[in-house]
Amino acid sequence: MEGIKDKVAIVGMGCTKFGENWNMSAGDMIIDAVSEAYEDAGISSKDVQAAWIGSFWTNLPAPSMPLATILKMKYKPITRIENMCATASDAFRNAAYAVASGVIDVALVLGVEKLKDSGNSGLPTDDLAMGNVGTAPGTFRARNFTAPGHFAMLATSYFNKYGLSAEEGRTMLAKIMVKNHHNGTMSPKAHFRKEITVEQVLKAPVIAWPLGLLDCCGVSDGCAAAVLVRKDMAKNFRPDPVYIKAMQIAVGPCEGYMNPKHDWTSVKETYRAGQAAYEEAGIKNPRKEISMAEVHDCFSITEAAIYEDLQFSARGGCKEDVDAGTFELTGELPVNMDGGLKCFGHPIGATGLRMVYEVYKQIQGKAGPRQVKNAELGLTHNLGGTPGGCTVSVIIVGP
Amino acid sequence: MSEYQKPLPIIEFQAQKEFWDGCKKHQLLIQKCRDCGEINRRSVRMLCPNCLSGNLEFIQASGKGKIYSFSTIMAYPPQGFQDDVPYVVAIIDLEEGTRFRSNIVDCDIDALKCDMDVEVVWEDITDEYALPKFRPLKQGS
Ligand SMILES: [Zn+2]
Repeated sequence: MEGIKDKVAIVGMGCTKFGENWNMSAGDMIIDAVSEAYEDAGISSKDVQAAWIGSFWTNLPAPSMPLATILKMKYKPITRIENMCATASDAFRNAAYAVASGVIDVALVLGVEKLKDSGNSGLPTDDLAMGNVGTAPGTFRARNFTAPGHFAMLATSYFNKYGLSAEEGRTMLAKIMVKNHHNGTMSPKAHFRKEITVEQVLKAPVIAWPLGLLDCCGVSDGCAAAVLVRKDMAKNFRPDPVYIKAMQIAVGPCEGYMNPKHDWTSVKETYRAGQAAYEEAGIKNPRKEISMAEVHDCFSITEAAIYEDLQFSARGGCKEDVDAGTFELTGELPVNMDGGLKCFGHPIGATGLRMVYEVYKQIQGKAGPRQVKNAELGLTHNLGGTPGGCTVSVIIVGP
Repeated sequence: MSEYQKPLPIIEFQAQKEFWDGCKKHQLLIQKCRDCGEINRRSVRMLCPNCLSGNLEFIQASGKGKIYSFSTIMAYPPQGFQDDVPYVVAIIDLEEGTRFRSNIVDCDIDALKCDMDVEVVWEDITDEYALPKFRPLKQGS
């Protein structure tokens, strides 16, 4: 099986400010993100042969149609993709496969979500929010389980397995959030841009024990976009294209809720998608070979588990690496250089491409005060669902 | 019984009805395949997830198990559960080798721990439905 490695290049990207974009519709955000991507690639809609749009909740009637009108892409093929919180990553994957096939030379991919108009503080908590996973076809009731509650159980299990007291465990997690907030202060497009302290995280109101308010990411509006072309055309667009090295998705069978063999200190889908991506990219030692990563820190514990599932840390080794500053901007393997979901919030259908945007800018040396040294291979990890059953995308890109 | 305001089970096929009928009789039922012998470690199914046989039976679980993991919901519960906060959600490892997601009730929240022994307790919510919940086993019982 031939992989995607070095067949497709990213030649332009754009990203809106993430936040409470009350004054912008989804269409307005699409125009802003796509215009930036077009300008970056030096193209316009007339050069695009096909487009993919990722969107989860946004109330766009037939979401492919706005692209045909607002982006002046009349009668071109446009496809809407949905794959839970990994929606934008999957839209990217589908567009990249079309380009790799040789059928499409220039593809546009974007992810957009407008959540703040939903009238909720968190995510909508109707049946759709938890889907068949949460309501387990109307039988075993799980309806008063919340998203923070599901991820909090990952933390409870982790603390229990590795013998951490609640205080030790919560402090380990708080340090991850302090790191992401520090990085976020340097991200002009982030929703939240202020430093926080470990003490503030520990003393914040509890949402779902052991997770407090500052262990949770925010809810935002946002849009991000990319222009993909065949590798052999890439240098016609720019001298520093970024190439796709691996692109994998693992979808779990939701057995973690009922199979006693499922260990809730790990997210199997992350491990599987990571392993498959490392194989596709030819990576033997992820901790040494990956320069930086943007990962799905929807909750503090999620990022902790990701370190171990992506083999950045040994099993149970998160605390030691966090205490050593391994994942800080100046550390051995910077993670969430732009502040992550913690600072950008999580517009479901846009997040995956916001992650790619950051590693793309880092590889080109354009990340300003957040720039990491020797930015070569960048990894993005995007998770939809909860630890018992989810969809995980891992994408690796590089020069 | 006063009007129950929270969501009720949705019954889509016969086996689900049998499960909830068991609950009404305060029997916690789990599915087992008569052909391959596997316990169904998913929600109630029409076919065995292991061998796809339709020859499934319900067996009665003891209702005893251990807390595998839990969290106390302190804020932003789903619609209908606002007055319950704080409440405990948990994954329970049943003696029969399957897991169950439910709530831990009748407990000192601060004293809850993983691996704690629990037993099923029934909440009769309407004339048709009772919900299986769990509570810590009393010491020595
Ligand atoms: Zn069977």
